Amino acid sequence: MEIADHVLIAGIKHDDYSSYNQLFIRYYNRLCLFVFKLTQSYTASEDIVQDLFVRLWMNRAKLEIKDNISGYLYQSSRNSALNYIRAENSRKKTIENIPFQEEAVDENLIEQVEFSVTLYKCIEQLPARSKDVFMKSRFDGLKQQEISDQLGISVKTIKNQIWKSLQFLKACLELNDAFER
Amino acid sequence: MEEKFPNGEHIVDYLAQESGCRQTNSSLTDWVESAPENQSELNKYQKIWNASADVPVITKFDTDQAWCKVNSEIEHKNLRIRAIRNIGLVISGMAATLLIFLSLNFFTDMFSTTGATMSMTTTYGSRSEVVLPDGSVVKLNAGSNIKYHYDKVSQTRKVDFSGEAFFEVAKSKKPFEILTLDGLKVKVLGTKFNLSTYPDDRTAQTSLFEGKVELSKAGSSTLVLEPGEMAVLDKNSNEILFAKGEISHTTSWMQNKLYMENMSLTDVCKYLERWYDVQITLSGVKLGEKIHYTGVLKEQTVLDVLNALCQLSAISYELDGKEITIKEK
Repeated sequence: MEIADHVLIAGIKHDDYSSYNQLFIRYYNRLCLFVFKLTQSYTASEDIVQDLFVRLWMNRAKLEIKDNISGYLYQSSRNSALNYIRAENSRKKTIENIPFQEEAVDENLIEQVEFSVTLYKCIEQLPARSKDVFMKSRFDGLKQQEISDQLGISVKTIKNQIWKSLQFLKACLELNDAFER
Repeated sequence: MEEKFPNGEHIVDYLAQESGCRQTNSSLTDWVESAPENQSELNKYQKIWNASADVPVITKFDTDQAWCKVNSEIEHKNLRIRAIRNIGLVISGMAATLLIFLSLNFFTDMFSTTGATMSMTTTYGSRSEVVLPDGSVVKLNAGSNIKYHYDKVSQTRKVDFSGEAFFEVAKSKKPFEILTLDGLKVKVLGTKFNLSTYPDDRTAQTSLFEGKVELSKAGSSTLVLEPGEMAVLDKNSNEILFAKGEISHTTSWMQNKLYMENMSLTDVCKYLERWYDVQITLSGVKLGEKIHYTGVLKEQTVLDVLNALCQLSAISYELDGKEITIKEK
């Protein structure tokens, strides 16, 4: 059973460090991915999200989060990301690139991030061999023929394994209601 | 299930093409068009395929490592806040020191070989926390007096003390020595301990929480305390002896609690006088020694305490301003 976000926030307001730790574990990598999509910088993403969490704890007494905790965290991350982009742009003195809007957070981007995070959890559940083939074909930029040579299995088997992984991932994502969001 | 595989193979081929210029071959088109749910199924696979590009990014973010950084950052920030608060206390403590010592010790201090001096007094009914110039933190109970100076000649941190306090002595090679009004000498290196040495008490008590302290007094043997131990100086017999008891009870005053272990009414009243700045008179022959209490008192006001005591024993009280008279019922 996962403890609801608002219970963790209530705990944090009462100085409960373990609630804070749980919230951190729950949101850290998805917020980092979100900020990365905006900034394209790994170090900036980690700095921004860590800083956000430090401030959250230091200002816990004044915390005014009503119901949408995840929305609050995404919004804060986005604001910091935009500040970062602004600072970077003025530093590089390039005015022309990255037009950004000041309105609310792009819901579509959040949806993508949430989907990817769930997908990541599902990929972690794949059998080691299938995961290996899937990762190689998808991320290492290897052609199926190269993987076939490397692992000593036929291209047909590789395709078959990728297909099985895709079916597993789809089932796993459906189980987590990832497509409906 | 057998005839499903060729479609799977086609889907994999289709996805493996560069996104943006994907082309369906005829058998995949046939399959997609054969049923509307097939199109949505293909969309799902496409979504998985596209989103999986984020996975290598996610794996770059190490939550455990990040937590360590955030955790130490918070610790660091907390320390800084404490340091700022401490500076505030030191400054206010030093202001008080200046006032007192400008009037009393101005000239002697000018020519002495000792370093900066500071002192702090808490009246009855008030408590205070003071940070000494060496960084030691002293929580003073009501009716206490502390004077600190660094003796440059003996390179010793010297403290004159009476009353009750919890000492958190900053670790240093320079010895930390407390001399109480009762003549008890406490030698410390870096520890936490509670010292209760009110001049009007028959005993002076030390309880050690961390580190090591050495207790001595002219004309008495020396005693070394280990953590968890406590010792009592009997002022009548001039003896320093180990004492039995729960050491955590000795610091209960910091939580406004009074632990009583067969404590006489006289002694309870002494605590109340200090804590609440009241004068208590016991009327009745040896009333104060007749009644003893065991238990713990945690009350907000002196009246709450007195009411609790009246419940526990056959006494009643009268109140006149700050003066309280306790009678037998």
